[in-house]
Amino acid sequence: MIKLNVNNKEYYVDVKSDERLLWVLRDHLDLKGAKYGCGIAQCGVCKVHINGKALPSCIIPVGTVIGSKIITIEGLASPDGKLHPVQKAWMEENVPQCGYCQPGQIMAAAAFLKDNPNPTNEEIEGVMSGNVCRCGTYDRIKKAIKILISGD
Amino acid sequence: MKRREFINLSFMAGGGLVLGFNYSCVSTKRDKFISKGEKYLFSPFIEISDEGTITIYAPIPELGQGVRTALPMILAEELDADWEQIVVKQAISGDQYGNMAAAGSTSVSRFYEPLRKAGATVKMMLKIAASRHWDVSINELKTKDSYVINTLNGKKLSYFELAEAASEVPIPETVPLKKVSEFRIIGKAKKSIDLLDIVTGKAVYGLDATIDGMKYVAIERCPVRGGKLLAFDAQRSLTVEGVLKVIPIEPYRPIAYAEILGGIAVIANSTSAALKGKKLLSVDWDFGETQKENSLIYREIFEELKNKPWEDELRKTPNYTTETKADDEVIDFEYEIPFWAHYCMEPMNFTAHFSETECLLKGPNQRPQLIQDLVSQIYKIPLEKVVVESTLAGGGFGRRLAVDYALEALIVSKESGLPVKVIWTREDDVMHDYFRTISFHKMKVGIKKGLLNSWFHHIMTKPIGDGPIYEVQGAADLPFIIPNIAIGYSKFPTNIQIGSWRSVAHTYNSFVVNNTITEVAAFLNEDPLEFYLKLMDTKDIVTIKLPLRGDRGEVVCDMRRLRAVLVKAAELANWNQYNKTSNSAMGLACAFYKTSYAAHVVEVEKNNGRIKLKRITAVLDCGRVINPLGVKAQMEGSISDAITVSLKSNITIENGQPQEINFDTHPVTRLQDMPELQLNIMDSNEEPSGAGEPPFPSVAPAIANAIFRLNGNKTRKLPISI
Repeated sequence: MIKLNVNNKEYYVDVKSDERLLWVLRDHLDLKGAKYGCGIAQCGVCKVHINGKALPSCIIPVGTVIGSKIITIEGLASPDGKLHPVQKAWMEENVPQCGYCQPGQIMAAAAFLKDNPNPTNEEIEGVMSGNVCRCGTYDRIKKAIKILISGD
Repeated sequence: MKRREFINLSFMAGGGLVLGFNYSCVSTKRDKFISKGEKYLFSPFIEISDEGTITIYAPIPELGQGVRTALPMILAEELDADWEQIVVKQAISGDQYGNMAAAGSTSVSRFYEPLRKAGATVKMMLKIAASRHWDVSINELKTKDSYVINTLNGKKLSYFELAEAASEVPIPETVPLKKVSEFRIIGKAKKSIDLLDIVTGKAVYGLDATIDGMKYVAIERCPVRGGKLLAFDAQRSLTVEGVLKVIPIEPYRPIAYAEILGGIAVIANSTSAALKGKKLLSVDWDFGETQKENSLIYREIFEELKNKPWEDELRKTPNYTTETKADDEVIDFEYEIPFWAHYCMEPMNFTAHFSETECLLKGPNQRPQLIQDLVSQIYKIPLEKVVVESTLAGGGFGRRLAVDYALEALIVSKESGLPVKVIWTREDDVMHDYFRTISFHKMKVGIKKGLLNSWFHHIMTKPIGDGPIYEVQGAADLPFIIPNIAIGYSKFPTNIQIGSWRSVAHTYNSFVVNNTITEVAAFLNEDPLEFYLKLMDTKDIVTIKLPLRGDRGEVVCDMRRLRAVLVKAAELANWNQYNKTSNSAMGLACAFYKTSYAAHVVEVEKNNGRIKLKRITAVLDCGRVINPLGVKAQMEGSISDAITVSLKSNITIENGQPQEINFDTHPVTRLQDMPELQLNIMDSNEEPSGAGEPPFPSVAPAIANAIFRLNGNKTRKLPISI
């Protein structure tokens, strides 16, 4: 049994410690917001927060995050259902198309902006280029982040 | 089999057939849609409950192209429904919806009339019910935001209050449709209907779908198409905790777009166990003939083919001779446009449960009815007992027009006796993709007295069907004034699996045609914009006859619309005022796809020796726009896709195997690669046409033209080497 802290809840799961966090979240905890895209930490659709950092859950062995605070897209809004500012900005700019990559994009943006609330364009490009969107929603992602920076 | 598209299986990429579409409403209360007798199904598309919801059934699967928003908008417009109250549900595969395929950028154009009529008919039934209730003439009633209003006294009845009575009104045969000036939803910017679910992680994609008791499956397939299984050993896989069984799957090919490759299926209690079990398999394959294929061989085949006469002649002006001696000068062009993969964000997967009497299939797809038809035919199960539920799809781009992965999942369920979810890894997804075909082009352009006098184009590709159909679009339909034209086609022999890819043949043909025209303009020392405008016929409409089956035998290009998008793009980009420097330049291109027209102007700049896209101006005329937000998104997506294939990646084949099978070896456009965008949708009163593919074809040649004008680099192969 492995004990995990996910979205401020304690879970006990019967999995091997080398299992990847992504599949444990999806198959065992029924948290399917994090997606599978490449399995090699290249596309970012599986990103979740681990102790506040957005990391690709597809390569993280679950045994390495015992005791860590894990937040998934399902746990990003506050417990009363109030959306996180990044989620609100994403809605404001109508960012998603197919939407498959967007949980990962939102988790990446949320962690990044928390650490760096006033990033430069270069910093935004650098960090957000860690996530792939095949629909090409990048322009709206940039606009949504601009809203968050300007505090509108 | 008289249904819909089954008869048309070999030519799948383009326009959908609408066969036997029953546009009328069915007001019967069908049991399966009724919960406690409080929901009234007015047509396959509309259900109104007396508790305050209007549900619109979206007939076409959503892949990011925005149909779950755009199609309901059309219906809600004529219904005069309150858009904010609309609930959209995905329709389960069935005849009553007409052709449900997401193909050829035709969803809006196919459903525009039927959905307007459906909405207007139900609105009329609600008004009739209200007129009976109040005992007033229909002419005294207005509708707005899901209410019928009595104009005599201002009293209102909601659609929900009227639902039951309206469901008993006989269906009116003809109903008036709104005037464009009365539109309150069509043409307005509406956000995605699934927005909240997506940003909160609740949206259900194929990978998230479940069937009670399902097991997880990963399949090891032969890395070379057509290879045969010699032997396998599953001992080590079976030691993985959670692996339940390992079974071989036979190759099976009922149709070209459902080729089951066969392989070894590892069935497990979790995805992790299935993937681990797959890795531990030991399999011996006979790779067969295809393993001889590689990039060098393709080049050799081209060298041989290009010197032979073409197999199919598509156009030849009466006086054309292969050696146009009349020309002062002849410029030769040879192009190689490589295989492209789809790289849908969500790799292929499907969830299925087989039984002898009924089947359930859930997953991301572009053609629910093809899946339903195939399963029904193969297993002799009545259509209504084959339930196909389309989940949201993480991208499609033409890949999911093939339904191999859905049928494969059902076969695994049948062979294992278990409900299953088959998951493809990214490597599986790319390795066994239906690639955009490789193509080679030999062109000769003759100049006489400073004018373009002759045009020779030999197109060589692997066809999707058995000969040129889609493969020549964007080339054989060349709409420009050139006195001597000869265009022909030859099949390119390869056993690599190919299929549809966003705008199909326009991807390569529009590239080579535009690139050639703009280079010829430079050769003649002419501005490419002026050159294009000179080439465009003074006629309003150009009709090109081609020796192709069906409506593909006649291509109509509205030159006014093509000119207009090009002129508009140039104007928005300040083309005529632009001062080219040694470190910056602009390029342009235009194209038409069915009845949509697009043009792009690209500005590139060089910084420290690196060429970067600075700005792209895109103009699209797709007729009447339903949802401008959706159309703009498609224009942006086309640009993103075009940057990937023109500057970054392709699929190469070595030993018969695709090489670039994950994002580490196949870079795609990322946020930092996206230039500044300037998008413009033309105002139009024409019928709505497509927006998903039409903005794609002119992007890549405009990029190539900009780079050529910057540094003289002549592109003969994609991606462009910069």
